[in-house]
Amino acid sequence: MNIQGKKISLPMVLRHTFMALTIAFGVLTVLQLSSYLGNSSDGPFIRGWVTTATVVGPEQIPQASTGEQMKLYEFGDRKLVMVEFSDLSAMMQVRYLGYILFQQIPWLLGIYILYQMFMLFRDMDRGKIFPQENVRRIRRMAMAVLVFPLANYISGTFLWSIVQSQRGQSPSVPISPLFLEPILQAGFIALILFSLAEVFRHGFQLQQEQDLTI
Amino acid sequence: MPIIVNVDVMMAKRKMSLTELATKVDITLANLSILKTGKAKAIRFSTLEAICKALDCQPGDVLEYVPGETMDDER
Repeated sequence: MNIQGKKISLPMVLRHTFMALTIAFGVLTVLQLSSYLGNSSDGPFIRGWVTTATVVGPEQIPQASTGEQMKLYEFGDRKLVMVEFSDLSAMMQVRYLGYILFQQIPWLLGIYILYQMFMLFRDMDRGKIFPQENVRRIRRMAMAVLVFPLANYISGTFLWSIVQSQRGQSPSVPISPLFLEPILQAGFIALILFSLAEVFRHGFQLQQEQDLTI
Repeated sequence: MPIIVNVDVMMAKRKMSLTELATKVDITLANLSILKTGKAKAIRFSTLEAICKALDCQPGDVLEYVPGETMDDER
């Protein structure tokens, strides 16, 4: 297909799609972070999902003395936790900041992976299908995928400790019995990506041989 | 590489420049340079034929096997 004399190819479309997605993810991450820190009209807050065995809801647990208010909304086995703060200083505790920090990591990893995909298709669009850099890019993506469940687990632990501290329960109840599932999913995707990197490494060798055949 | 490319020797014998040979063989200067410096992994029969024609020589004049040298595997 030709538009304004320029041939439209699939790598070109994918290149621009991934560029747009990278920018969109970046904007969403900044917006999310700024809304957490209270740049919206609602004031500072955090929210997240927990799967618990004991918490029942919907309910509100006001703790006016510390400037925090927790709300729990029940959606089947999962509960949406919402902690609103009177001001930013009430949020300045390790567990809240830790939760916000680790909750951003999957978003940042998402941006990183999308950017690597953009670079991969940019090279492909330029006719470089098997440069050595692509092998490294796919390996880096696989590594990033492996960090996803870890970051989710840590942020989930922070959120669970927040719920525990607000309710005064013992922290013996597991955050979620399904934490093994995301680890297995990420491991499976990473395995596919590592295999793909190996294919690209072989492709690079063939390309190099082809380039050095006179 | 145990295979030595003696294109430069033949070029000197025929008093032919790199550019002239590249034009006659119809390959780029960069590729001819790769061949001359021994970085090439393979040579096509068509290229060898064109080089032999341009330098008026046999493949044996351009390529030489030197036993004892190990294969430089860059993989």
